[in-house]
Amino acid sequence: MGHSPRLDADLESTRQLIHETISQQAGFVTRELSLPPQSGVARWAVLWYLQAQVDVKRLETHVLLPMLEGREPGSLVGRPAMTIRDLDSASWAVNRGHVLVQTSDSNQVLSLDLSNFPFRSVDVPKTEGSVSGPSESFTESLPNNLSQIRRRFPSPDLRVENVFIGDRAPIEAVIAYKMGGPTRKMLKTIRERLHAVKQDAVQDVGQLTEALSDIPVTLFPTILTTERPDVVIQYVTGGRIAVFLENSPRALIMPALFMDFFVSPDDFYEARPFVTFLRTLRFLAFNMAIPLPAIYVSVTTYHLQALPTLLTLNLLQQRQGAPLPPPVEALVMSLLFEILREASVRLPRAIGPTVSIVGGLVIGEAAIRSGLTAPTMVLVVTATAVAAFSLPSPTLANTATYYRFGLLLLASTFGFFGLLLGYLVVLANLSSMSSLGVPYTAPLFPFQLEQMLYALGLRPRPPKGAGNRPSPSLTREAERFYEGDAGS
Amino acid sequence: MNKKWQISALQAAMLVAGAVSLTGHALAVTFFIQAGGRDSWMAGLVAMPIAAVAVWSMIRLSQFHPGQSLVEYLPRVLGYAGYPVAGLYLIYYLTTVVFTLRMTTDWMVDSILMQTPSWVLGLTYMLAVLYCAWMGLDAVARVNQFTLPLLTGLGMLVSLGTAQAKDYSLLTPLFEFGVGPVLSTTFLGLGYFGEMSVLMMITGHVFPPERKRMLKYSLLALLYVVITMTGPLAGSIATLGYRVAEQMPYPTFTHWMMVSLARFFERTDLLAVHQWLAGAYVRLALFLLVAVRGATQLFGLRRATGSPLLIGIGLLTVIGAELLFPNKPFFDEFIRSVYLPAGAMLGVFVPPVLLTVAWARRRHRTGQEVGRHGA
Repeated sequence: MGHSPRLDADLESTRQLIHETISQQAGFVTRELSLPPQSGVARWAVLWYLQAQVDVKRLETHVLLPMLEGREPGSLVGRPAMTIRDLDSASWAVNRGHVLVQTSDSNQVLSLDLSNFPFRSVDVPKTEGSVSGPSESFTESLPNNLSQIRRRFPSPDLRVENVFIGDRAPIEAVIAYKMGGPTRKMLKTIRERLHAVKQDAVQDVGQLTEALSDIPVTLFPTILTTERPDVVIQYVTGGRIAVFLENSPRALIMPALFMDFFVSPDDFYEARPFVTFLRTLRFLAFNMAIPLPAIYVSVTTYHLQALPTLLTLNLLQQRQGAPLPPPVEALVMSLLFEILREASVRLPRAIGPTVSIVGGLVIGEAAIRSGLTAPTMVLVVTATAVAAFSLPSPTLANTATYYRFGLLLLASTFGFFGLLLGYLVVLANLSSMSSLGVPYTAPLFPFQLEQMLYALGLRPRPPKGAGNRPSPSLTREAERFYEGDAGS
Repeated sequence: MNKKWQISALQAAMLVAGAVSLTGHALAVTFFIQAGGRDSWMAGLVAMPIAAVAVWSMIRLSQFHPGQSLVEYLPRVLGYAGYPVAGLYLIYYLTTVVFTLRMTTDWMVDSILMQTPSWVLGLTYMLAVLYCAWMGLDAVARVNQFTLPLLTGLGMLVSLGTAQAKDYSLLTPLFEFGVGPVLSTTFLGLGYFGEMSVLMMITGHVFPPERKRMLKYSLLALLYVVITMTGPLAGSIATLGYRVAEQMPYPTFTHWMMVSLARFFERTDLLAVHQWLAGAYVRLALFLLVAVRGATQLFGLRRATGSPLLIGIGLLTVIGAELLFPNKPFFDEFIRSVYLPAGAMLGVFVPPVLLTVAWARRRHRTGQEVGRHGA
């Protein structure tokens, strides 16, 4: 914590130092206490804390009264007292609801955790709702989140490590994994990446994704985010690593591969054939959500010969009098839809659906009737939007949006040639990515049959590895990951 | 080993199969039919055993020089003569890029984008290829692992879709004009198989480096390459007759125009665009990548210069594709008389020679060591 003044002198020096520095804060309390004499020598103690951060009742009953009775402060509260060695640590502890104590016959400043922060209680998941399965979500309390994890997976194999991140205002992060799941290398990488975070006041795990990713800036998500403890357990027992952060109601799951973003919480509790059907459907939806407007624009602008004559005539008739060419029309319609989506997210829940209906039905219908756009265009944009909404991961839906606009521009310029070029670039981008060293597109390519069956829901559990037998179909990282070079 | 360059044996073989087969089923079909007429479809089968010896030689050479590329071990095998030979290989790989790019842009302009200048298409396409190549051999291999099964599936679809138009009696009688036509196409076919010499540039990056597995997959890749030559050749002759097929610049493209998907897509030739572009994408990225990597190795450049060099050479190939071939007849003649014979020489005939020399040198060296220890 930098080079801050040390706190290892007598009580008067400490009192002086704290008085000149951190006691200037509003609500800071310095409290002096006369203690029973020991061997005839008079003793006293000084306590420092922030009024609003501390449970005053516990302070009275668990610290003040026992100390007045002559007990030592080190063993008074449930959590063991920490020794504070410098001023920065003292400031950090006070802000986190600790009480600093020093007695006249000691050179040690002790910190007692008497924090009293209000946390909301466990609620239903807000963004990952499910029909079947548990309905609990994480809260902003890290101990509460960890207790949910431990309760759901009470196994000696569960490992929980804490790491403090940030420089001047450290915040506690926790890595949870199943022993024998992730490789040592993966764990080492995660620890190093967390330690490398120098940003202070990290508020949510979302702010860590850039630091934890193999590729810092990417349009495809390489880390899963979840607010559900049951989802964390499903992944942790499958060999993944979960990262929690103090004050964050979400957890990160790593490594996360492309196929993982098509998994919905319900999939863990539904019948397998149904899960396979739904996952295939979502995969198709993703492949619709990106290129559909681009295909429409390229066909209507450059390759009308690909369509049957009657359909071509019908399309041309629909477009008669339309003021904008198909590429611009598609761009405007897609942008309008994105604005509508943004508006419905920002508005209060009671009004959001109304805006969606008004926007989707009324504006769309009016646009067609006024001849500003062709009905087929509205159909294409709407079908694309519905396809994007069917994706379980909002991040993946956003990715689809970015690429949709990119492909639309390419298809508008070069027709099918541009569309394919864009698709090949997306493919190259996907192929170059990894999550904690595991190829992002595995098990699709490099193809791994058993893992693929699991990803499609055709296998109930991840396949067990066959020792150290080298598998040519997955790269070394994936192989180590799936076959489990046991963690520490 | 650089992770962006590390691939498995299966990926390497698939990469070669995906990158090379485009010549056999799209780029050079007309040349094969012009050389061999009705009997041309047999050439792949005749050339296959010779090419198999070449592939075996390539794998043995990589076993003699683990972790090294052709450019790195050529001077070890041939001494100073190895440097110009390595230079010839690099020129050959770059020519492959230029020739593929030129054919791709020509075809685009001929088929779907008649009014777009070919240099615009070439430049745009090359930028997309550069992005893939920049990501490294591993990324190119993974793209290929996705596109190759798709391309094969679509190829089979069009083959089945045009079954009713095929008259297989057009493939016979064989040897009506003697064995000359078959031998002519066989030589050109060897030129096509010669592109598999790119294998020697990537085997050093295969991990784990298991020779048997590599040999097995490489021979399977050769089989794939032979099938993708023989199938479209036989298909084109059976559909169009060899007299018509040899007059057409892109006979296999014609097959796509015969297929329709229900009543919704009247013509599926747009899927042929997919076939061509996806196939050429991996091919260009691979050949460009090995040419640039080979150049850095040959001239002892630091690896960091690889990426600027990649962009520079990539853009130069766009200019080359536009300016080197003033017209179609010149281009066709170049492929027929220079490119394919050079491929046969460098890819089929040189590797066994190299293996023999490398083997003789090893024997000589081992003999010397035994003599020294004995003394």
